[in-house]
Amino acid sequence: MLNKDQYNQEEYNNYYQQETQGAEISQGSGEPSGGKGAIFAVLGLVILGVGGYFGYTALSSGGDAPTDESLVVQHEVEPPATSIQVAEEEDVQESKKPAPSDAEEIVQNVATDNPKMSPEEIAKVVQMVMTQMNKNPEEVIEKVETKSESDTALISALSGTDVDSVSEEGNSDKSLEETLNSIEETQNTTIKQSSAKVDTYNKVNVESSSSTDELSQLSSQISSLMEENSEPVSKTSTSNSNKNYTESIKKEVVTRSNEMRVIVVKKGDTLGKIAKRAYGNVMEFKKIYRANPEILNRPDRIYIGQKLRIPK
Amino acid sequence: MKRLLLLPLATSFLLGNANHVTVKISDDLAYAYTTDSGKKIKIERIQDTSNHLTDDYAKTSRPCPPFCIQPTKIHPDIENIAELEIIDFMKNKVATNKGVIIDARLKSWFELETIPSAINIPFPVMQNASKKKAELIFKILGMKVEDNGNWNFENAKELAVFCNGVWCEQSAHFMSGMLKYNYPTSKLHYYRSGFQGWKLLGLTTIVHKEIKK
Repeated sequence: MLNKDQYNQEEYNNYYQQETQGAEISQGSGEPSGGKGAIFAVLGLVILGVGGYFGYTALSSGGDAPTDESLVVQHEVEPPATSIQVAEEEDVQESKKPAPSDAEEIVQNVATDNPKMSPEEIAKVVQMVMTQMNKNPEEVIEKVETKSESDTALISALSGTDVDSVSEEGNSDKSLEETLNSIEETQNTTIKQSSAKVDTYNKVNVESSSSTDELSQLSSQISSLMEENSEPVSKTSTSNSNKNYTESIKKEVVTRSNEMRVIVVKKGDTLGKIAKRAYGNVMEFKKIYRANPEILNRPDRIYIGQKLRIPK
Repeated sequence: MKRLLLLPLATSFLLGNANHVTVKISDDLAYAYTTDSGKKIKIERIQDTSNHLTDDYAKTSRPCPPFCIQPTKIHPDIENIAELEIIDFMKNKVATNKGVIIDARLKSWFELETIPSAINIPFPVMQNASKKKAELIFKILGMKVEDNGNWNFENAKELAVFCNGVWCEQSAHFMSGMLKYNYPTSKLHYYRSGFQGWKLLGLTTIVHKEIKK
């Protein structure tokens, strides 16, 4: 027992420590220090840069290319997000690199084109390129594209085409979803139609008269016997408990008849119209809608032949 | 010869029809027939597999007492039966006038909805019946009074008694009246699941008087 208590105490201490640590961490994150603030700032800049890069690639690849928002939305919706995410990560890596690597390549190209250029001249060219990139990045990208075809191919392969393909996939999936939905809807409607044909209550109305078979004769004999002796029976029911029970049963019948109010939807009916008929108020349609969760999926969709419960 | 040729056709047609039934009564029984008020009634189950009970037989809670969960047995010698036995009872006992299904609920409940071919003897009638009244009822049910005044139950009908279900004590009250005047226990059967059990399986019901809004 002692060991168990010790163990429990240790476990409790462990949890306590974890909780306090968690609290400390949360406190720390609540008030970021200077170093942490800098890291967040850098992260924010990187995110901004990535966003900007995507915007530029989208613009450069043509007006049709979707924006990042569409991508994000589709990521949320579509399951093949893993592959897209991979592509995106690669983009991010690329987006981090392009400015320096492209500049270096331009420098290299320039250097190879003009082997006689001095290092100072090369440095000037680099500076020019860098300033141009900062001022008007689109032009630089255009230049990069025109100068290094392999890079543009790579960039477009990684960004533009991927985005296009993703969007296409997204569209196709969207259309697929739509078709699936429509199929489901049609299935639902067919089910509803079929269920409208079959009496889902499976009740048969019978008039207890004009039948000569032994069973119905027996039934009528019994019922006539009940009617003859209905008064003496009620008088002879001596015990109070029986009376109470019969009373409660009768009460249940009243409750039941209130619960059992069922109407059949006819042509031109809406929930509002039914509510107006039942309660005198169109807005009471919600009451009917809530009382028939198995039958009604939407308050504006009811079908002829549906049997709706009308609560009191 | 023609009959010989037609026989397999007819049987295949019947079997084919039976195979179309999605929700059968049992593995080898798609539907059954009985009569109620001189009308042939097909007993089948609701075929819509998305159907749910919405009326008061889907209700879980009523005040107890009086609506308490009933013990399994009313009497050690009274046999308990279920839906398949009820359908069998319709075929072998009701159709041959050897048995009757008794709805022991009040008339208003009986009229609202009941099991096909059932007749109504409200439980207070039997529970509070005088000997004279019991004699009258038993005579209708096939009991004979011998010359020496003894009651002979030899040809008395078998009774399958039900009420609203496992939360309903009306069958027990009915049975108490029957046992008081020595109706043979071998001729009494208790369908404990009652009307709720019947409804829960989507089996065909009879409406004698529909409540209209």
